[in-house]
Amino acid sequence: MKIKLFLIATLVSLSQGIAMAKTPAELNDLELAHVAYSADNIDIQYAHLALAISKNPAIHKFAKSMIRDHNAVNTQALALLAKLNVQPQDNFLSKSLNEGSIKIIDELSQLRGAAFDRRYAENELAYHKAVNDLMANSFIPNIENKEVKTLFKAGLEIFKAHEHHAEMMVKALQ
Amino acid sequence: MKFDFTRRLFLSRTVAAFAAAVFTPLSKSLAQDRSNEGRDLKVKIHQFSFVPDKLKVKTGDRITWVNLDFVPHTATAKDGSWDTGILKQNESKTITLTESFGNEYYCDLHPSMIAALQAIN
Repeated sequence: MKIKLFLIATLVSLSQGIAMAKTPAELNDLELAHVAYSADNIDIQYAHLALAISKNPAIHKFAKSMIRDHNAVNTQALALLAKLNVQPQDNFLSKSLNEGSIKIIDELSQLRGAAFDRRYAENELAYHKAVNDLMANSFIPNIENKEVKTLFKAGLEIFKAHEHHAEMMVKALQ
Repeated sequence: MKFDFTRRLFLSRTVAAFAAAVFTPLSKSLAQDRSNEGRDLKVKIHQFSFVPDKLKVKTGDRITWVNLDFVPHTATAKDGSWDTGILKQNESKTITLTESFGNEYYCDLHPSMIAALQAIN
């Protein structure tokens, strides 16, 4: 719950406090590519933490899926950027996501056993919900490049499945 | 002339009747044999879905699952009776259904992906 509130607060601040700079919907394709790459890497970091701390086989299975799938998305993204001969551009949203993840990793690192498992699962659910909402409502409608848009759509399908999986995990751990 | 015609008609009918007697049961049994043979069926794994997600099958059918997504998937029976194992992009696996095949299946890596085989034996 705490993590969910933090994520919501972060996302609200993204669209309000940083409104002076830009909003998520105003990011260009290369900035969005950077956000997606950052979001993938953040979830991979959470998964590695889960593999290191948790002893729950279901958590391990989920974490391994996150590493495998997010790496697959990043591989596709890097291949597309190479094909287009462009570089992703760092931006306020990537920075904010990375800053938020440091706090969450710090919090998760201090937990053990069932407390860690529950918090990790809750964070995965909240994180995927928040990212999926951004992708569906702010990113995809504004992407200009056709191939980038196709990749984001494929990514969204993957992350929706992750969200469902996380939801199942949260219920099972209650 | 009339005799010839009658005789020819008789002969042709006899041959036809003989052929029908001999070949009909044979072709019928071949057809039955064919219907008892397993069929080759295909399920695509695409955009985190099994397509089709419901498939009418019978014992002996050979089902091929092919993964078109760029992330890996499996098709795994809920009762553990069969499993494709991990399929990377464009990999496929064919499983022949035995009598005790499990109907409901899912992706072991993404458990929200579910589908079913509907037995028509």
